[in-house]
This record gives sequence, C-alpha cells and structure tokens, in this order.
Amino acid sequence: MGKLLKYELRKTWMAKLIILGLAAVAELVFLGALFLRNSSGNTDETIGISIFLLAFIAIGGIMMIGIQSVLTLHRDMNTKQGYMLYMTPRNSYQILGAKLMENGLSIFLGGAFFFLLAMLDVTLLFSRLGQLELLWQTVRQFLTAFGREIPLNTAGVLCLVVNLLASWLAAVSIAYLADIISAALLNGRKFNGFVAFLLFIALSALLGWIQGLFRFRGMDFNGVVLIQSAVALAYAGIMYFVSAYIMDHYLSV
Amino acid sequence: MITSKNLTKTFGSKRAVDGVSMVLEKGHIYAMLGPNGSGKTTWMKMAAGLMKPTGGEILFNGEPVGVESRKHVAYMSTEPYFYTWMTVADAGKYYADFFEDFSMEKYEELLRRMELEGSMKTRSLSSGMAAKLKIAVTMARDAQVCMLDEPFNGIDLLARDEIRACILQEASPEKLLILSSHLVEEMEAIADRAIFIREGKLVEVRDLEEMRDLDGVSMADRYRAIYGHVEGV
Repeated sequence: MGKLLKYELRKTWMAKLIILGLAAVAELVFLGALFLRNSSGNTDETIGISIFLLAFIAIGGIMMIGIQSVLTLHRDMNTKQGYMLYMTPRNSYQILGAKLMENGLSIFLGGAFFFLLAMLDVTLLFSRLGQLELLWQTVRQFLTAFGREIPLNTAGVLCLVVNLLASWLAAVSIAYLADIISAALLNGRKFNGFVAFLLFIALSALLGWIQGLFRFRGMDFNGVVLIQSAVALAYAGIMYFVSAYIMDHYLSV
Repeated sequence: MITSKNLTKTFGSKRAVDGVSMVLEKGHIYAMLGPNGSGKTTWMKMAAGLMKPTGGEILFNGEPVGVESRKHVAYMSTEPYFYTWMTVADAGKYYADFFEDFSMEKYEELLRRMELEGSMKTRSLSSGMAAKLKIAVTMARDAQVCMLDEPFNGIDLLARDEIRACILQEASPEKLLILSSHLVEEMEAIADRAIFIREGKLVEVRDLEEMRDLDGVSMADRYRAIYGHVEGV
C-alpha cells in the first residue's frame, strides 16, 4: 500500500505545488501590505484583496485536490496509463484504498495548513489593526442576537472545517463510485456519463438525508457538526468498499 | 502453465474472443498469430488480468489470474502506457517497486543495448524509443510468463535484432513466452509453437517443427492457408 500511496502522491504533486505556490504569493502580499501599512501609507485595499485571494486559494485548492483525484482515477480506468497500475500485483481494495487515503490525507493536511495559516493571519491582523477585534465581537453578538448557535470560537470554527473536509472527502468517494460504475458496468452504453452523474447526485442526496437523521435535540452545534462529519466519513468508507468490489469483479482496462 | 477454458470476451454484440480453449506450456515460445481484430490482444489482456472475461476462465498454474498471477506474469501492451511525468529511470524504479522479479542491473543493461538514457522523458520519446522502453522494462523482469504484444512494432531493424536476441536469451525450460506479431517471418525465427486465431476463435495450436516435418509447410505458409481468404490480409 505504501508504494501505491507514494505513486498516487507523485501523480498529483504538481497541482499541489501550484496551489502552495499561489498561497505563498498571496500570503507574502498580505504580510507585506500588513507590515508596510504605516510606513507606506494606506495598504488596506491590498490587505483586503490578499485576504480574498487567500480564502479563494484555500477553498479552491481543497476543491481542486478532490477533483484532481477523481480525474486521476478516471484516467487510470480509461486510458492506457491504467496498465501501469492494474498490472501490478495489488488488488482493487489496495489500489482504491491508496487513492482514497492520498486524497483524504491531502484534503485534511491541506485543510489543516490553510486553517493554521488563517488563524495566524487573523491573529496578526488583530494585533496590527486593533479595531478589527471590535468588529469580530459585533459579528458574534449579531449572530447570538438572531439565535444562531454558531460558536465563533476556535473550537467551533475547527469543527466546521472538519465537517467541510469530511463532507468533501465523502463527495469525492461518491464521485469515485459513480466513475467506477460508469467505467466498469456502463462502459460503451448510451448515456453512460449522464447515468453516472445522476447516480452521483442521488448518492450525495442520500448522504444529506442520512446526516439529517443524526440531528438530535438538545445537542450543541459542535456535537451535531462532529456527528455529521463522522457520518460523512463512514459513508465514504461504504462507498470505498462498494467501489473496490465493483472494480475487482467487473473493471477491464 | 496458462490454461484458457472456453474463454470469451464480448464488447456489445461483438465477440472479440470466442470460446478459446488451449493449454500453453512452459519451456516454449508461442507466436500468437492472426489479422487485426482477431482477438490476440484481448486474449493477452485477459491472461494479464487487465481484462475480465465475459465467459469461461483463464488460469495460471491452476488458479484464476489475478493479484497472485501478476507477480509472475509480465505483459507488454502494444500501446505506450507510461505515466507522462516519468523519465526512463522512473519507469525502472516503478517496476522495481512493484515486481520482486525485476532486476535493475538487467534493466540498465537493456537500456544501454536499446540506446536509451535514464534522464529521457517518456512523453517525449519517439514511438520507436517508447517501444524499446516497453521491451526493456518488461524483459528486465524474470517472470515465469512473458507476453509481448507486437514487440517489433515501430522498431528499426537493428533494434529488432536486439529484441530478438533478448527474447531468445529469456527462453528457458521454466518459462513461457507468448509473442504476437504481424511479422510472420520474423516470428518463425523465434517461436517454436504457433497459435492461430481467427475472428476470436482458436483455429489451432501447432508445434512448428512438427508442422514442418509432417505437413512440409512453414508458419508463413500455414498463415497464408488459414487467413488467405480473410478480408484485409
């Protein structure tokens, strides 16, 4: 499995380097604008743009990692490059496991990296621009006043981030299954891609419905979010086993 | 060593391989012959475990082909299949990582003979060079079964001599080699048995020496006799 994982990482490292490079540039612009704020006049606009860029790169980067993983699987099943993978003495559970693990690691490490970067940047921003702390408190009071039980503290934000990442991993695993069914069971049939897309939508909706069953009364926001994350991860696990079974029994490359 | 039992593969309404039954024994070099679309590549892909049969079964040492057989069966497809990010050296490392029978020394020796450099990018290799690389990585394995699909495709005369020498060097009483090619005369100099396939069906498996002695015909003569009337031959 380790060697498969190594090559899965190797297949996708260029895209990750590009995401990291873009994030580094945006971060440098942000830090430059922040620390030159007083000496070089008003750089608030640059700070704002760089924050927007960082947020865009973080969200877009994590989404891109998932999409790229699905595209890599698609290529491995539908082009001659797949021979490199499927002629190795590894079974479908190992092959798909390595792909899902690589994707999960990338999504969670990427998410952790951007979360820590955001925490660092917010801290720096508050320390340099004291009045933002006041704005932050106002937002919190506003949400509380409207009865939104969203805890705007580090733990709450962390729970939300974990939930988003787990849901995204589940979405990627659903896309894996839809693509594998398309390549293994529907190959050559009419409306193959469309059926796979409908399947993706249906399985995603099913996940949403199952998650809805786990909203218990009286449970706090963080608890609900964490349970839903666990459901998403368990769902990803089920998608993995079904996908690997189909791959093992029906996929021809 | 490899047993094909009523093996069938269909693509929609087309039967690419149609009930092929045969036993291929170690210690022989088989030439798999037939015009384009006769089912040679599909049969090989099923023997390599890349393609699932629609019907029948294919066994390696009595067990259905799968993860275990892939440890001992080397397959070279006719199409280039390397990852585009790979260099020639990366391709060797990849094989070394996954196949215990892969020899890096042998690979480097084959690269020298094929005039390939480790630093060359696989995506920028000419078709002839890519064909040589496929041969080098496949032949650097000490596999019990080696299947080469069109090994002489796109290869110049000198490299062809090298490949022929490599194949003959690989032959041993413990190994089974299966080669497919359109170059029947070329194959006659290498193989000792021939598998004739037509329109997905097995016509016959013949021992070439026996065929020459008993029927007084060469492999090329037999090929003409079997496929002479087939469209496109």
